[in-house]
Amino acid sequence: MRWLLWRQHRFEMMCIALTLVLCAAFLSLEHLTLASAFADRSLGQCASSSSPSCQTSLNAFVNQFGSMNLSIYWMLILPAVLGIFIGAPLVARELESGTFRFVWVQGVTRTRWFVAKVAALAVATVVAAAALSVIISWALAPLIRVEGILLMPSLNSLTTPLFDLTGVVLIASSVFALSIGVLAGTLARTSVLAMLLTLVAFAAVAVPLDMYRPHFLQPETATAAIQGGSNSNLPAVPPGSWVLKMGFVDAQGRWYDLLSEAAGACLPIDSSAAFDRCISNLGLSTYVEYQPPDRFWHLQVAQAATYGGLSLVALMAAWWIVRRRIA
Amino acid sequence: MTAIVETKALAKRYGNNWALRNCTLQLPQGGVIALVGPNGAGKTTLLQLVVGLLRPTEGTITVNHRRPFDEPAAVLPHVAFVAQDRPLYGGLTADEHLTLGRQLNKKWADDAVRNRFGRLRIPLDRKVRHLSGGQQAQVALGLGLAKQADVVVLDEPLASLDPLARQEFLQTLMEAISETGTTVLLSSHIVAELERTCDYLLIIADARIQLAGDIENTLATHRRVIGPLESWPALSSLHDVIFASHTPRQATAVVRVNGQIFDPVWEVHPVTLEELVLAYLSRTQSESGEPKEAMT
Repeated sequence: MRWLLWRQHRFEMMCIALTLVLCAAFLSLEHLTLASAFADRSLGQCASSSSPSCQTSLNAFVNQFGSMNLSIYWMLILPAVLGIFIGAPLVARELESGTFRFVWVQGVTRTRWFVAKVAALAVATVVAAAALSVIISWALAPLIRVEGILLMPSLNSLTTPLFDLTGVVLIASSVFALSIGVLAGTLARTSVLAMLLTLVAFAAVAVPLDMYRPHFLQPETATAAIQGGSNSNLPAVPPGSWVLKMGFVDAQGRWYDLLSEAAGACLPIDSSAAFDRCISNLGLSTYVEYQPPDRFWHLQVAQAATYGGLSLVALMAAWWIVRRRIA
Repeated sequence: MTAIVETKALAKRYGNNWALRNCTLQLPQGGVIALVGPNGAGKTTLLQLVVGLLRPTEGTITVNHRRPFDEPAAVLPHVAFVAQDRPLYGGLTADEHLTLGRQLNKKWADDAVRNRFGRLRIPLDRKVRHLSGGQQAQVALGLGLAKQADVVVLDEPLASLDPLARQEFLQTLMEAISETGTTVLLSSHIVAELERTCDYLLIIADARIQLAGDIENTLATHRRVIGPLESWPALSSLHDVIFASHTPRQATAVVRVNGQIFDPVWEVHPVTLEELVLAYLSRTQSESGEPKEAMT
C-alpha cells in the first residue's frame, strides 16, 4: 500500500511541503524584522517595568508592527485549501474516473484502502499543520510578547487569526478540513461538486465555531466604580486579556452598553446639579467581560476537541459510505 | 459439476429499476463462461455482484461459498475483475500498474505478465493513457490474470477492439488459463467470436437469465426447423418453441427438441451460437415471459 500512497499522492505532498517552505521563508523574514526592532528598542525589560520610556517604546513598536497581524490572515484559508484539493478528490476522483472498479477488486479490501489513504494524508496534514503552527508562534513571538503587555492588544493570542493559527487548533482544523473533504467526495462522487461542498461545509463550521469561542468558558467579569462622573477608569484586567464586552452596571445590577442609556433613567433634566445627583445615586460602575490570557490552552483544547470530534464523525460517515453505500 | 459461483434468487435494484431479478445459477468451475445479452440487460450488474462491487438487493451470491460483498477479504484474493472500459490510472505507466498490483495482492505472477507484455510489445514505461485501445485492453487483462484468481471476470472485454485485437486478446486469455483450473466469466454482446472460445453459455435479457447451460449440449438440443405451416401445431406441441416466425405458408422456428423430429415434412438444421442467442433474445423482445409465435 505504501508505494501506491506515495505514487498517487506525491504531487500533493510536494505541494504541502512547498507551501510550508514558502510560509516559513516569509515568516522568517518577518521574524528578523521584528526581532531586530525588539532588540533595538530594548523591549525585553519592559515586561516588568512600566516606566514612561518603556510605554513610549512599546507604543512605537506596536504602531510600527501592529498591522503585521494582517500578514497572517490569509493563512486562515490553508486548512480549507487542503480539504478542497486533497480531501475532496480522494474518493471522488476514483469514483468519477471509474478506477475504483480497478483498485477495489485487488487483494486489499476497499475499507483497508480507505483507511490507509486517509491515515497517510491525515499524518501528512498533522505534520505540516504542526510545523506551520510552531513557525508562526516563533516568527511572531516578539510581537506577541509586546502585545501581551498591552491592555487592549490588536494581536491577541486568544483571537482570530492568531488563535486559529497557533497551538493545536491549526492542526485540528486542518484535519477537520481534510475529513469533511473526504466525506464530501463520497457524497458528491464528482471532484468539482465535492470541492464546492467542502468549502461550504468547512466555512459553515469554522466561522460559527470561532464566534462561539468566548463561550467555551464563562468569561471573567471585572467592575470599577465611577467616581466624580468620570468614566475613564476601566476595571483592571490582566494584560493580554481578550476583552469581550464593556459597559456600565448600576447599583441595582442593571447592565447598560452605553452611558447614555443609563442616563436615560435621570431624564428629563431639571438642572445640571440634579442630573449629577441622579447619576451618582445610580451608583454606576464600569464593567468588563474578558477571557484572561492564561486560558489560552484551555480554549485551544476546547476548540481543537470540537474539530477533532467533528472530524471523527465525518470520517466514520465516509467510511460507512465507502463500505456500504457505494454498491 | 462443482459450482464455483452460486446465486439464489439474486436480484439487484437501482432506485425503482430492477437491473437483475430472480437469478438462480450454478456456474461450473473451469473453462470459459460467456454472458450474452443486449446492452442494459443486466450483464454488468451480475458481474459486479460476483466480484463484490455491488451488494445484492435480494437473494444471495457466493464465490467459493463466500459472499463477495460481505466478506471481501475472503473473496477478493480469489476473483479478478476487468471492468467495462478498462479503468486504469491514466497517469501511471504499465510498469507502475504492475508494481501496484504486486503490492496489493498476495499472489502475483509478475514474471509471466511481464513476459506477455514483452511479447505483445507493450511499452511498459509509457503512461497508460497514451497506449492504444488494444494495448490498454491487454494491460488490463494482464493485471487481471497476474492475480492468479480462481475466477477471472471480464466485462465486455471485446468491445471497442478491432477484429485483430479481439483475436489477440482471446488468444492471450486462452493461453493464460489453458493449464489452470481458472474459471473465466466474460460478458459480450458480440457472439461470433465466442463459439470457439467458450464452454458455457448464459443468456440474459430484461434483467432475467433466459438460458444457462453447457454450450455443446445446448447446441445439440436446439434445432432450426422449416416446414409447412399446417404441420406447425403438431410440432410446437411436441417441442419447446424458443422463437418462431411464419409466413402465410411456411413456418420457421428455433426449438429445443424433446427427442427427435421424425416428421419428414420438416427441414431440420443445427443452430449456430449466434442463431441460438438471437432466438432467445427475440423471444424476450416479442414478449417477456412465455415463448410465443410471432404470427400464426
